[in-house]
Amino acid sequence: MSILEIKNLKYEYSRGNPVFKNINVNLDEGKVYAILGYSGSGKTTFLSLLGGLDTPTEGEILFKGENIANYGLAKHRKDNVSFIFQSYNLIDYLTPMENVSIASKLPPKPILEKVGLTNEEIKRNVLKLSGGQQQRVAIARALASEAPILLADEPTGNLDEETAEGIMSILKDCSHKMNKCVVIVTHSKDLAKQTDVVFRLKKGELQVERNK
Amino acid sequence: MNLLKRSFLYLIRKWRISILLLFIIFIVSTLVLSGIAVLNAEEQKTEELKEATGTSFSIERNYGSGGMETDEKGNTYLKSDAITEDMIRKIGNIDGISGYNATVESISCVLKNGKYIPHSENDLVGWDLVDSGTLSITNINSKYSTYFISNIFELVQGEHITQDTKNSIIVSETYAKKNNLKLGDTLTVVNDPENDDPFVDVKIIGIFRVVTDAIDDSDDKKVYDLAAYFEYNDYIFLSNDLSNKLYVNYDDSGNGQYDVVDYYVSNAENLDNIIQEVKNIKDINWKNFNIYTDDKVYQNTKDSIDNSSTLIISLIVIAIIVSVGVISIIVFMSIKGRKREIGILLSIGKSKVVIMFQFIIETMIVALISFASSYFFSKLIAGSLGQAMGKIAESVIIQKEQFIIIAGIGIFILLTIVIISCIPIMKRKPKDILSQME
Repeated sequence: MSILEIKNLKYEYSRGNPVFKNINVNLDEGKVYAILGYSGSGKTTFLSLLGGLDTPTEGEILFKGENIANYGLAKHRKDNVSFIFQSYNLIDYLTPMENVSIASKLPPKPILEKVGLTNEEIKRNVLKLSGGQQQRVAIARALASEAPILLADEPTGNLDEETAEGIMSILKDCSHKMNKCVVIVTHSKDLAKQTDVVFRLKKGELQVERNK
Repeated sequence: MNLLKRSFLYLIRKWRISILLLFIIFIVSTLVLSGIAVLNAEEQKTEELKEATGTSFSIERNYGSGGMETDEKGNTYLKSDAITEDMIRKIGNIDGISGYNATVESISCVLKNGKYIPHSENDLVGWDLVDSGTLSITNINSKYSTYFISNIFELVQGEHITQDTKNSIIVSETYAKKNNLKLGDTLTVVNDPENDDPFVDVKIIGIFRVVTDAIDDSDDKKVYDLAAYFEYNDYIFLSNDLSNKLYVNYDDSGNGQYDVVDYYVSNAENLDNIIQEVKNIKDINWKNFNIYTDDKVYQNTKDSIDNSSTLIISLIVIAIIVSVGVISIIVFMSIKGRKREIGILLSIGKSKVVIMFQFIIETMIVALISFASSYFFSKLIAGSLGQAMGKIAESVIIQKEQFIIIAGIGIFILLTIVIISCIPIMKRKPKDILSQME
């Protein structure tokens, strides 16, 4: 079932200079999507538009049939989407427990344990955690939000192979077991191979490269 | 996690910046509150000056205008016009005059239980009588006597003489002690027993203390200035009705006639206008009277107060400007440094208003702690300043109302600083904020 419908989407940084145009695509629940593309192709911008961090120049994005602009972008970000950023984006004066708590009223401890953090690590200041541990906190925060869409921008970009593998496994579980729509922006073809659908953003167009 | 908890966690975990901000706000508010307390004291001092110190004028009979005359008994009189009660009332009714006192000075002898003070013989004669005498001053309002106004004397027991007081006397503490006198005791006063003047019984209604040992030895002291011949402790103040009873044998004093009237104005700045109004009273022949103004002390002190007030106000203004600048930079840099946090909070669906509100709460918590601390600390500083400033020590106080106003203005300024500092970031799209951090 489509949870997001993207219709005639166009985005320009400046007038007459579109990053992409006329994108039409539907994204379903319970699937993991990868978006590949060269640097500057507009992958992150596309993700930002899906997440309501930015507004399109033309076209509309519908969440369960309702235009997110009408729903309210802040409300859309709060209720419908959660983000995982490449640079983790954790609040530096909070512990992992507190970072997760700001996004959800659910108890943070079980979620943090689920992503592999120990009891001691979840009470430490986030700046005293390794990159992999910080990314796990960011994932835990995204999972805790209970939003049906998870948008991840290069979630394993800074991580070693083993940690990246572990995180990818969590994201797949999140989609397949929790029925979430997971959209991953990445450069990595290896990571893309593990997803259900692969899109390539090229010359302003979104092309389906593979669909399982 | 709610807003308040997040604010507290920020203040505690980022304690360096919290302490810095707290310290600056504390220093500034302490300076401002202490400065205002000193200004209050200065203002009060000015008000006191306006009402009392030297802001007066005197009307004195012109002793040189009528010459002198000797009667058949050999008594010598001044022939110049004396000041009448009608004249005193007319002038006293002019707007801006807060009080007045008319006096007649003489030498009087005092008796206790029929014996002259100091106790020697019952039948003192000649210079012995004069030596035993006191400087007697009849008053309409002894409160406005120059001696009390200038703080040379201070009433320590009983009450002052007013226009309604009858057959009463105020004596010095030393005089009372020396002669075993107390409030309520009855004495007898006579102006000149050798001139068949009447003896009048009076009751002690007040006792004064001589505050200063200063003696007026100015060069312009006149020969007829009786005060030159008496110790302050031998001064007595008599109620006004006694002048009509004691001086019945004399034409130039008593019977509603006075030598000097002192008028006090409620606002020294109006002194010149009031004197002009006095001079405009047509049925007074001003050739027979002189008017002396005395606001030299007020003017000198006022200039000094004005200068120090200007200095304090300048310092307060400079402190406020500098601190607002410093606080603005700190808050602006702090919020700019929290761009990532703002982006994160926006990405999880917190609204811009909520994020700004968090910054406001944080600043308000710091401000409230700073203001509360400075309120108590300023009291200590104001107390020390008061001690350093001598007589106005008691008046150097922090008024609650002023503290509330200062805190209110401070909070308003801080709110403005926080909101203005947030605007450049909040105007941007969440994606731009986050991509900049990436």
